[in-house]
Amino acid sequence: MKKIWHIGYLDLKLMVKDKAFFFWVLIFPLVFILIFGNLFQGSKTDTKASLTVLNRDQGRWGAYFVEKLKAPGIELAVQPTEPKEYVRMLVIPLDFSAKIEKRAAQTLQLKKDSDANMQAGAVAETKIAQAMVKLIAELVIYGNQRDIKAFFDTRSPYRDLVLVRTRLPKDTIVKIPSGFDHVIPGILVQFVMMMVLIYGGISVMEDRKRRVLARILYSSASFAELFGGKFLGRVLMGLLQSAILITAGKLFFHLNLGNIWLSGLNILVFTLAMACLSIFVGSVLKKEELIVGVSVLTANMFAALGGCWWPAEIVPPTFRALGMISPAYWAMDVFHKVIFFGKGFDAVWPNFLVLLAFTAVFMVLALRFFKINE
Amino acid sequence: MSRTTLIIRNDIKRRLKAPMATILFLVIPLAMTALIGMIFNPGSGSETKLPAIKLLLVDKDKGLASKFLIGAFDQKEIKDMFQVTLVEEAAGEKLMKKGKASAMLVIPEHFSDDLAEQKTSTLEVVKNPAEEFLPGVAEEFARTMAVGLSAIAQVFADELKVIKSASKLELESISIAQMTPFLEMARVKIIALKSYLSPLLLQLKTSTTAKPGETAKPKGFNIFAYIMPGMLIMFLLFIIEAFMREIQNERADGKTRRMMFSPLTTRELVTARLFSGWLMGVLVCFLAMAVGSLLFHINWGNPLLVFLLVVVSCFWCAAFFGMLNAFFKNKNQAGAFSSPIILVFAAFGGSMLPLEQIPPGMRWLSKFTVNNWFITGSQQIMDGKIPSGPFLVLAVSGLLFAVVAVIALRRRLST
Repeated sequence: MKKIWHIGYLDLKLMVKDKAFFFWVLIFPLVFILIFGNLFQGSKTDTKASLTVLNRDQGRWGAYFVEKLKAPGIELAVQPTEPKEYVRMLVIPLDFSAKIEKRAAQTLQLKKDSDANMQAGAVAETKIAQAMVKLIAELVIYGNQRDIKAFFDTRSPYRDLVLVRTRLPKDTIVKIPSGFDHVIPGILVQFVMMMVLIYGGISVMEDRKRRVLARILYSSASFAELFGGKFLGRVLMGLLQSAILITAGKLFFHLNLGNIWLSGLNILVFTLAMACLSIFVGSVLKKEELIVGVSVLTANMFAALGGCWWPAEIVPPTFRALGMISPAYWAMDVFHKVIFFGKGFDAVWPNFLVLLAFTAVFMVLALRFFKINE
Repeated sequence: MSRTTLIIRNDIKRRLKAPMATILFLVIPLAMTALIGMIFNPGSGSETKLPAIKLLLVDKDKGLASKFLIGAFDQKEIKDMFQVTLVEEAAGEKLMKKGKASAMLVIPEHFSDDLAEQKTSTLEVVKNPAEEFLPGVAEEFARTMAVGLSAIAQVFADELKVIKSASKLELESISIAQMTPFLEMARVKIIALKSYLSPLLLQLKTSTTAKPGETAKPKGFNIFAYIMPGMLIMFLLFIIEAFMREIQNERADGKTRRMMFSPLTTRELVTARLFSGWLMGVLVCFLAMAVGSLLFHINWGNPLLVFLLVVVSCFWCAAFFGMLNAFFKNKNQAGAFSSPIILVFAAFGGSMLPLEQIPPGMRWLSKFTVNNWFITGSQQIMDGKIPSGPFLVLAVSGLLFAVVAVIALRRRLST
């Protein structure tokens, strides 16, 4: 056991001494977290569904419609002339009042900037549709037989009789998760894959090429201890990467990992699978650039299919089902259950079994192809 | 054949003899483009569509208003948008706790009665905390329905009161004469309603505008054409970098020194290295573009402009990595720094996600990346424009890097 630890610890030490170590394990993932954490929030000016209203109407109805637009979640800016810059702009035409008074149908224009946030845009469109419904409702209540000019003096104003309240499911989390709570677990899983596969794979290949593996076997270490040491080294790499990201996530982004022990166990089980895969990759491939290429491709494919890059709910069902071939899918599922639903071991043990099955398959492959010499 | 040409031919031949790494870096952008494209554009030529939202519906009212609300989900467009399951509240809570639906809409008890009496009532939307978008869509839909129901309840306030009281009476005790004034009132309102709803008094038309010099994405645009340039330039950087790293490898294994014993000059050697890196990049890029056209039906635009863009971009990459390798002390240093540089370029340059999605505070960094200029140039060519900006920036900075690379590499290789 001591020899296994020695070999594993040495691999970890070599990785930490690498010039690009802090870039790979800290800086680059943090850049990813910053970019992707803000990804679905849009620009700072666009988080509250901002809407510029260009009111060109020459009557009273334009201003009245603007009043109907006022609602929580929308930030209105009413302009008499077209501004140079806007995120999205609703144009109330010159003859808006005239057409309403004639009860003639008309179309309002909503212009959206091509860079505008889609989610905020959908909110703005919904609020406009709601305002239209409110205005039409008031007109219907008023009736089409009465003098429309007297509307503002004799109308019955629209009232919100039906309200909407939102909540999260009972006995789950109490605080709505932030963008970073969604993004960091995905980035953590992806970088554990990338780091362990690239560093772990290359070092196995280089140790074999430089005959380091053969020299270790000249010592009292057995083949099993050598393999065990290499395996442990890669597990330690994954755990170190995770520890650094979790610490950074907690410090800078107030990351919520739910039950830390279960989340930790999830990382450990996932890392076991990746450690075996990295030994397999490093044993089969003979060139550094090939290992980098295969690792980048594998990690990215697994990450994309496993739900590390985008919310799984927007992925078509076929691809969601296909995602199950990726170990990342099972690890991400555990994170979701633990972080967002506060689930315990009873809910996540099947995922651990699947990840252990992946580990077993990769372990068999790694043992079959692990070579001491070229 | 000149010595420079001989080296270039030799370099390319050597690469082609062991093409696995190059093929792999060619396959990656194609595979990533295919995966992302298929996920976000399942139908050919159709616009990106969200999958059906799983919505649980709890009806604690079982009255007229709740039936009306539930019936709304049978409308064609709404049916496509939501996958509705009627459940009891306890069962719904259990399913929500398992994350089996995006949201649960709870219609409260006495909902219909409250509406008839013009009292305020509250719909409850339980949101799946593990999902980012779909629960929000369900919430907004509920809010729109709430507005619609409030409006209907106010329009037909008198009629609803009559229906409510009539529903409590025996059928025999209701006479047609009693009902006639209310039916007449409803008729007038329905006629009024018709005049506002058919055609709809107010409609909304959305259009996307672009900043000066930019073109708004047309409807039915090819998502693969949107993704592939970014992926292509990222992995082109990897390919050219690996090629240019040979400078370090040959220094390390003494090949450069042996070559210097021949009549070959350092200038010839450096020029040959830069040229072969550039040529390899151009060949791979064209091959990837051809595969992209065949697999994803990407129309890259004017072939001459595409050729020029590929030529200047690959020249930039070869010159840039030539320059870096002049400053790296050994191949380990080159290996340690090159990949991070490529990934930073990719992250900020628009290869990993569209530029407009990058936080504004970081967006200016893209101007310093080849990725940004290649992607922008490709999009401009596809839009039928001449990418003079990207051409100029890539050509001028590429030439500058090439000059520095030649001077610094000559100095390094001669020592």
